[in-house]
Amino acid sequence: MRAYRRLCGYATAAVKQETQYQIPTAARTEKKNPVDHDSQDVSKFYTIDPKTVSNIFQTGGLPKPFTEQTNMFAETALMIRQPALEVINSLKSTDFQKPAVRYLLYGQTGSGKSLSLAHILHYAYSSKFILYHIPYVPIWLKYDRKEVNWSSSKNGMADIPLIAAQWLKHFVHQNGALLNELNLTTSQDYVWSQRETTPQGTTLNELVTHGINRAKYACDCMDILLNELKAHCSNNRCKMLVAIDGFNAFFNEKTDLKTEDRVKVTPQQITMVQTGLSAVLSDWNNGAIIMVTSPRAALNTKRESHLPIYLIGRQGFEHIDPFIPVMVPELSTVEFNNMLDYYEEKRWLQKPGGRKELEFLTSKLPADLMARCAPL
Amino acid sequence: MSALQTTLRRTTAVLMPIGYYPARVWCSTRAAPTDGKFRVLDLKKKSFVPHAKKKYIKTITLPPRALSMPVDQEWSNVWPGPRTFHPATVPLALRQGYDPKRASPGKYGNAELMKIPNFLHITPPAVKKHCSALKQFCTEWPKGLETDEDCDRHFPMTTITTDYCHSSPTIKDPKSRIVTIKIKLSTLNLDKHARDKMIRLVGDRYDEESDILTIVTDRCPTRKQNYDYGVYVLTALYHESNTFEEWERQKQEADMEHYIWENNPSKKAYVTLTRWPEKVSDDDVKSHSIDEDTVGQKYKEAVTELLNNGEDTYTLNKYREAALAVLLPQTIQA
Repeated sequence: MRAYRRLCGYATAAVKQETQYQIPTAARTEKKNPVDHDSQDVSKFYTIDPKTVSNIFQTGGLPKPFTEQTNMFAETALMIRQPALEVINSLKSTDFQKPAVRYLLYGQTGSGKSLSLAHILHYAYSSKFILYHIPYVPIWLKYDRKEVNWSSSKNGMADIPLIAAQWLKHFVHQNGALLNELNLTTSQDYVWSQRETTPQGTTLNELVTHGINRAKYACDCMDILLNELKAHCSNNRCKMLVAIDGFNAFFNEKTDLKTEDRVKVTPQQITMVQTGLSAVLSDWNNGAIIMVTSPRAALNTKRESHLPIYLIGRQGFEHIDPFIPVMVPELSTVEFNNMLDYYEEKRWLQKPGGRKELEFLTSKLPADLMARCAPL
Repeated sequence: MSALQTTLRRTTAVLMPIGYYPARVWCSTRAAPTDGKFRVLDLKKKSFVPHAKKKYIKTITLPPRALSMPVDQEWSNVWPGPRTFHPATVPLALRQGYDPKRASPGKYGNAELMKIPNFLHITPPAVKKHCSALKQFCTEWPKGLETDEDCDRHFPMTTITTDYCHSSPTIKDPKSRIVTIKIKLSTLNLDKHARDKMIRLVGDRYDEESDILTIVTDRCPTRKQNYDYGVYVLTALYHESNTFEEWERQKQEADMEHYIWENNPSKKAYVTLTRWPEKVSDDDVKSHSIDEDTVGQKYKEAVTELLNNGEDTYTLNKYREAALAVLLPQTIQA
């Protein structure tokens, strides 16, 4: 009799548990287009359709751990957060006849700066901005396995031709269709060498293709492309969004790179860096500039603070002043719970409870939270 | 050996008169053992002689003094000067230390209590007593120097010297020649340039927080000489700060003591922005005035504060507000 009762007890307990623990579902919004997002949607998830993801982010733009997670979850869901929304709202209400406004996203490592930038990029892409997007600056300047040559056009400067060609591919991948549609052309002749010239009136797509095919000129091509785009924007032919992640790497003291004659190159000596710095100058209108500073992009001796002026220095401040600093904070309580709901929904987190501990361990930083939940 | 030989030898021995060399006998088979024990020849020293057990002598001690102390005693007589803690003299149930199983150890035989410094000799009544004894030697406090501010105003310069007392053949101590002169920089009435120059000249002798300049002189053999030298240095510094040398005109932006918005690219950026799409020359930037432009003034203030005080949440937020007003005036209104 006792054994029978015990068996019944187990069974009811199991049923009870099943009925009590329902897998929560994360709060989501149905608005697929970031143009429609408003303050109602803060802390909710929205899904970017796979085609758009591959159009914008296939060759960089999303952090690697996040990409792995999206593969696992079979969807790219971004949380709508205040900083990105704020920038998007500002972009909506900007007077585009004024010079391009600079925004600077800053925050602790793992607080979601790059994903906020991804949200903004999605907005810009769907509002037909041309994206002049540098996915992550340190990958240009780190790891001494690259071909570095002295520039033929600019004295004392160094080129990283293959990386520049790669970036041009990234640019074409993001903007090829839009450039064809807008039919933008070059405003003057460019002479690369005795045999190679790009005459006035060539489409920008062809210009970029030339840069990709002749990697030797890729760095110059980047610069020319930027100048052409700036001019077109100022003439109201198009709108452009300059987005640079890891912006503070431009102002680092050194790089890992050496030229063939074993001369160490500083960031300021690299043509691509100069192009990037020229992109954030607001001497053009019809567009916006978004920079992301991150302690991780700085040299590992200079990561004590995440505040922007510490990272970019006085020189960097003077270069981008005036700008609108946008703090990307850690998750709020609502966002934190919704994030965990999402992980439980996706069975990334298989046990309910322990939220206080997770909150304490991760200090509500989303990147930490993702890593911390992986073995749970 | 034959029997005759033996007899002869015996005879010689017998013939020797007894006590012939009484003082020079070192060794004799006739010596009788001192104690009653029979002595054994012990070549290897094997025998073990146990030590006599020490007798425990019980000392008679008085009960602790603290037990017989009257409640209304004069404590300063019991403990007149600085002294290491003594459990029997201090009538307090003190405990100090840590015992994992029992309560913390009491005051008797407690080295922890002896290690730490105590202030049992400077109890408030003892201090009071001391002061009242010294009072007869004091003079009246001068009028007009009631507050610290008054003292600073009337006597801006402080001179610090130290006298040493020794019970040694010489009463001189080399350290007594050192003279420290302290003065508040604001009392010297320096102008902007002179103040900056003075601070640069004195280096780490100036404390920014208290605005005090400290000159320590010890290079001359006597105190008087050192004092004179200190005052001379101060005078020289004062006059040197007030002179403007020709090379000071070469001061660059990096040499500036503060961030001054007008001399910096920030102003150019602001003027370019306000006059967009005009092209702005350097002269335009110089002549551009923001006296009637509240947005510009706020922006200038925010940038100056951000770069002078360093960045933190407050200054960054202030800068953000100012930048929003400059860059996106329409969102502010909305």
